[in-house]
Amino acid sequence: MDITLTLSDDERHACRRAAALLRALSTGLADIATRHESDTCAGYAATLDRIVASGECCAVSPDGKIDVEQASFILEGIRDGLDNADLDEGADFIQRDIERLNDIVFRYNSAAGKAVG
Amino acid sequence: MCGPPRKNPGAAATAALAQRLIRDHPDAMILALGDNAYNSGRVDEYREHYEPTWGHPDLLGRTWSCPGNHDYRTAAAAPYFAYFGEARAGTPRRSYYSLPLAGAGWHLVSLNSEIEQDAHSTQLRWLRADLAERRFAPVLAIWHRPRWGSGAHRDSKKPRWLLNELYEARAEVVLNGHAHHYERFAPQRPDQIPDPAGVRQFIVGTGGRRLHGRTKDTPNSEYARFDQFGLLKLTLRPDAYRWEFIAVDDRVLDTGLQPVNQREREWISL
Repeated sequence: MDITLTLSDDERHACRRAAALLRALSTGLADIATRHESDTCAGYAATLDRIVASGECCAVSPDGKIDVEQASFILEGIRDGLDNADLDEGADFIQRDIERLNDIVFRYNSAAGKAVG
Repeated sequence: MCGPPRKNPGAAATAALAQRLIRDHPDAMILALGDNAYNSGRVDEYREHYEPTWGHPDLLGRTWSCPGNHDYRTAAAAPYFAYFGEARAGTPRRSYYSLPLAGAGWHLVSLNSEIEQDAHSTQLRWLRADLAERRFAPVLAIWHRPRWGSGAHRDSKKPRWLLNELYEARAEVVLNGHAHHYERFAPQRPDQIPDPAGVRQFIVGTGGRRLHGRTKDTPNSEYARFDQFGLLKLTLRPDAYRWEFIAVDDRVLDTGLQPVNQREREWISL
């Protein structure tokens, strides 16, 4: 079911930044000929773009919610890589975005539970 | 923990280990820490992957659970709640619960890290009231997503509210999953300051899903294994608890005994 969520500025900024990273990753993956992964990442970026474009009030579908969670998992990998390379500031920045994406997922789950229960 | 064998190579072996353990401990209960049927907690995934391993009647009949993020890839995790039933998992609307462990003299709280848990959330208000009314003093809490972790996913800030509440209530132990490794932390405060009377966190994500490696070092982590499927056996007594992390080949890899914390005793004697 679609759930309408009210997003904070921080959450929308996190979506915007995550979409930018995922698009870049998608481009890079396409260049090394991993088409499926490239298309999947592009799909996650498109979902995040839609969320940003809908403004403060956003209808999130079940698949859209999963896309947001998958995006946060991919960001975890980028965060870990930056951290391993001692690029701490970037890692911290991405960590904050991961938390905001997870906030969206948790709020979606809460609302879905109330709607179903 | 259970799913297609290629990505879940340990599920059958850990279920077999559980079967061996309950032969010696017929009153034992099993706590499943979420993400029980990969990849989405669908009805068919529970039927095809969980049922043949951890869903055996000897195990399922003594299992209590908390939901994981993969369970929520279905609408409000409805198949998960239906599979375990209201008494063992709650409901989509009320996805947290508690029960007295009368034989051990402990109080079990099962929480949901996949929904709102902030200061003003319904779940946190419920937890505060539940802890205030508990009959037995030592508290064991379970939820899926760990506050701290040295493996995949690392730390998660969100459960800090739950941890604050449990620390204030002098809880003893938190069990988490989500990350696919085993890790034991020293008792600590919610702000990661070591405290012998704090809450001890275990990550036991070793039930079957492909294991992940270490990604960082985390303060107060006392022991971690990233290479072994296995189970955590907890023996609860009113005055102490013993832990044993047991690999699927029956080796005990980590064990210890901890008295229930001193603050608790002081609190009871007031």
